[in-house]
Amino acid sequence: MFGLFPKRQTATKSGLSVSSKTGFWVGCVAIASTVVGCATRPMVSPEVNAARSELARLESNLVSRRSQLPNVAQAPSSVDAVPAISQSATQTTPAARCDGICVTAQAICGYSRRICTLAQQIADEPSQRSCKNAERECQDASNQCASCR
Amino acid sequence: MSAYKPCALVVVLFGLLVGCGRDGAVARNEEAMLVMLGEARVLHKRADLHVMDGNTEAAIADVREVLAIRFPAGSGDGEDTLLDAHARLARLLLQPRGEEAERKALAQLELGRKAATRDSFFSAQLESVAAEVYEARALRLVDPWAQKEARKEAVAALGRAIQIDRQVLRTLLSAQDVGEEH
Repeated sequence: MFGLFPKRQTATKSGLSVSSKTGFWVGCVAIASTVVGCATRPMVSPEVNAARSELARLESNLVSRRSQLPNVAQAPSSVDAVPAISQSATQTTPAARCDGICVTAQAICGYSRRICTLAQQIADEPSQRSCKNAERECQDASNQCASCR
Repeated sequence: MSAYKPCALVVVLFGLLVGCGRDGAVARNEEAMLVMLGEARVLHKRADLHVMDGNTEAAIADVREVLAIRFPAGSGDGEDTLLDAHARLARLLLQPRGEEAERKALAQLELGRKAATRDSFFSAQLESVAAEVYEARALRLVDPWAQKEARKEAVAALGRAIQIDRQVLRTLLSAQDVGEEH
């Protein structure tokens, strides 16, 4: 804004050819510097920076509060609490995919155990069959996990 | 001929600039995504603290804030985060126990099912929480027949969870096979 473009660009008619050539090269330099600047560091909007600061502030608050709490704060809310497995986490590397397979197998076995506990309480033939099917699913999934390792 | 050199330079620089602009846009989108995921994580942590303080209402408000995050359309991680939040919110809504709490929890899970566009560990998790709701119902009811029906509903929900996870496994295994072929 301040002195980026030469004032000669708005000069007299006679100076126009000189100023237009100069302006052209200044433009090229400006574009080149934009390219270089852009390649080294992605543009970050003020909103993102503000969100990042807010996040850092919240995180530090949470860390300080967390340190005052008993260890139970780190424990999952239930045995079937959601593990850190997501689409991107499981589709990046073979090791991550293998982790995804084993975590999913573990979940299937957890569901299977719950089905069998419920089947005992229900105590009828269809529920017993559901238990048997679920156990078979658990076994298959466990085998897939084992062969992946 | 020399007159064309500056034009060629401009064309090259323009090409670089356009390419760079696209990279910059991708970087900004990724950064925005990271900020959103970080925001969700902080809100979940805040909900953890509220749960430990016994303030379920505040925890519910925190998880609702996660659900208000506008992730980019088609973002798998965004969908996972939202489904996870639906499941957690349903659990929190169930906490007071009783028919009304069960109704609210099941309604929340239904919203989660509608938000799911694919089979995932997190859509299976919704069914797992549905089973928890039916198990809570079985404990609340006194009529043995009604208890049995509620438990059958729980078994059915867990069966759905297994089916979804089996599909997730298939997808993961086929991705692995493709990876090994290449």
